Amino acid sequence: MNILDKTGHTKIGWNPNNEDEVEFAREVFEEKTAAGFRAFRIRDGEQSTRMETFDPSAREMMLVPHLRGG
Amino acid sequence: MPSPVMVAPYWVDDWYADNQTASTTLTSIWYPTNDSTFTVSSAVPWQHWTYTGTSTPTSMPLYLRQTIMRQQVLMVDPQQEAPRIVRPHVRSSKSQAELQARDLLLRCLSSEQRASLERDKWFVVEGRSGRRYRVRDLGHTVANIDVLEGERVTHRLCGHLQDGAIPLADHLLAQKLMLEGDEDSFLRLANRHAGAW
Repeated sequence: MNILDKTGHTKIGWNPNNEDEVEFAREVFEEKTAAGFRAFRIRDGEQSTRMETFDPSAREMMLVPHLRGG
Repeated sequence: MPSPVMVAPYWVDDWYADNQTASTTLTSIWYPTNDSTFTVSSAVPWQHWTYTGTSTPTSMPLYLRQTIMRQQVLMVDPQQEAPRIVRPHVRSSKSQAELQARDLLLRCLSSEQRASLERDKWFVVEGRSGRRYRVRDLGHTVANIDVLEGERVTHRLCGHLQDGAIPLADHLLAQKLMLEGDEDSFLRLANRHAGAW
């Protein structure tokens, strides 16, 4: 899971078989989306799709902070 | 016997950067010494981290790194009576961020989009509506999205991350993700500009 930020993104990985790691990633996901971040699932060769809930089986996801018109 | 305490030989961000391969469970190795329940909060600018493992730590959890990387980190040396402050060693974090963002963008593009970006400084994204958008790398994000009808530009869109300190490549990636995965929201928030000027 990559969170776009000033550092160029922060990556959070987890082992799907490790409950603690999954739970930590879920907490980060929920904290960020509650703060207005949008989550997207990335799949090779496909369009990205919005994610409303955390899916530990997702191979790659992005959390995008607030956007605005310019 | 006191718990082993790590004294960072350099700033914690560097510690992490030099040890990127391993991942560890945050709660099992690092915790603030004043609270055995791990919490990360940017509202707490100072935190006192103690290493409780028995061997040399090989990684710094990513989320922790994000939280503290721009802060001074107080590390305690058990051999000293008073805590010692390890001063941040600031290196070219901005250019590093740009490179990291660029790598991520390229990784998220199709091979065709990647080639187009490298060659032409733009890539085309298709929304769920079937509409095509040309996301241009202009070095800024002002009206950098062409709305295409065939090869004709009908108008331009201006919508980007609120935080201007985020690297440009992350803005482009955010635009791509929005146009593909949340096109309607993006069209609602983006400002429209005339097709040519």
